[in-house]
Amino acid sequence: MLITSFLQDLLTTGSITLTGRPTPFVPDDLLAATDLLQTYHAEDAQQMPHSAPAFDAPAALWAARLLYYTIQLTLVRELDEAVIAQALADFTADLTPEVLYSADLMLRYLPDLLRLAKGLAPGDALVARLQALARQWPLSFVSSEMPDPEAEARVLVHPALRQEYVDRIIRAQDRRRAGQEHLRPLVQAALGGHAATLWPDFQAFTLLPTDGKHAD
Amino acid sequence: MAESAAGMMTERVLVLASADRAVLGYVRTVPGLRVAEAAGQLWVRGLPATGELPAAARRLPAAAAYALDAQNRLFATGQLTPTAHLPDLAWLPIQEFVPLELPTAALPGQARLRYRVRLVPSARAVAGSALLTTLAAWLAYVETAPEIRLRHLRFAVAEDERVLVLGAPLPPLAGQEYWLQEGMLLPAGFDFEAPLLAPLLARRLNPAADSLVVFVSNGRWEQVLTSNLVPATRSAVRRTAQSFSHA
Repeated sequence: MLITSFLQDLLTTGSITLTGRPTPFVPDDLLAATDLLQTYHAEDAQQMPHSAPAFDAPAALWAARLLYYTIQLTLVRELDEAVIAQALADFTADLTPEVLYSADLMLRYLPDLLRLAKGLAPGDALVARLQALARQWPLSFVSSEMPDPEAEARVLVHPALRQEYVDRIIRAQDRRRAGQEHLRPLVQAALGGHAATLWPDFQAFTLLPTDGKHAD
Repeated sequence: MAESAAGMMTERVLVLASADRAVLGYVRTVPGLRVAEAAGQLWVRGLPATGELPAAARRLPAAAAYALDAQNRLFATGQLTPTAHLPDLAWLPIQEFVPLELPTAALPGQARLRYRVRLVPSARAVAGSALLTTLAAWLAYVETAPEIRLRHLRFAVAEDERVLVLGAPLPPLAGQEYWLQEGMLLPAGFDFEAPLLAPLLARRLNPAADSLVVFVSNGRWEQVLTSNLVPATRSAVRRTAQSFSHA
């Protein structure tokens, strides 16, 4: 199975077929996949507020492989923690806005897989690994695990990522995040004077004191 | 003598040219008049023998006026000697000789009912449904606007880069706000002079219900096909703006 074919299926039909154990990809395949991801980045950037961060090929490719292996590991449940740790390794370079956005192009599909994996086996190693990723990549995991403050701060420092993050919180009606003291003003500003129409119970739940755990 | 002659007279007779036939309409309601036509002349009889002529009869362009006696002799006005005998004519009551006609339009099949639409200031406060602004302002807003503020909007762009934005809540941009009535957009603060005509006007201006009729305050309007309205996504607005900058 080529990662290029995987990406083409994912981005054009939304339907993919994977079998077998995780295996490394050949260089030509990775090069073609990089071109595909760059094209996708250019299209997606048209929807981003402000100016989207530039394309970072290593981050986008790392995320594509991570997504591919996560799907594979979700299907092949008998794989052990060592395989999971190796296949779903962290991104090792600096987490710049370019990295956060380029990786997000693929990581944004992971919350659905996390929900699926939780449903299949709530306590297994794959779920734990995805939950750790969720804390590290908050832009991609809105409405999932609450983020590490440092990871979230990296998102909030860039205007495009910050606006996109707030947009996703509102789209997902993520009450836990919207209720956070540092995020509430951002959500309120986005809703403007139309909060009662756009998010009818926003005022009600943000008036309640929250410790970040029980706002929903 | 003149008085005795006048006392013998039974009626007065007027003679008009046939070309003046239309003026007989003036005297159509004078009772007892009869009319006959002969040799390019119209003869009118039945006017009273003495006293002033009815006002309508005095307006007739008579070529000659006579008094008629019992022997059908014609006496010119003020004369004691008859000048002629009344011709033997086919007399008709004036109502038959000058029948009523309903006026008809010159081009009845082509006449069009026209109603000049007037807008007048209105005290009614209605929520805005659309905003007319510029492409530059719209693009600048969309670049940074929260996605939730765009989600409920649609837009269309004219060749002169005016942008009509529809939906609620409307973007906080400078421009002309409109309110919606029967598929027609009226400038905020204005209403039709005759609001009850709105449904009729909507059917007349937009019979296929496939467009929005956008009015300006002087009563003029233009139409925007609803098929030209697209969802207000950032990519749609950016690509539209790019197409204009390349044109």
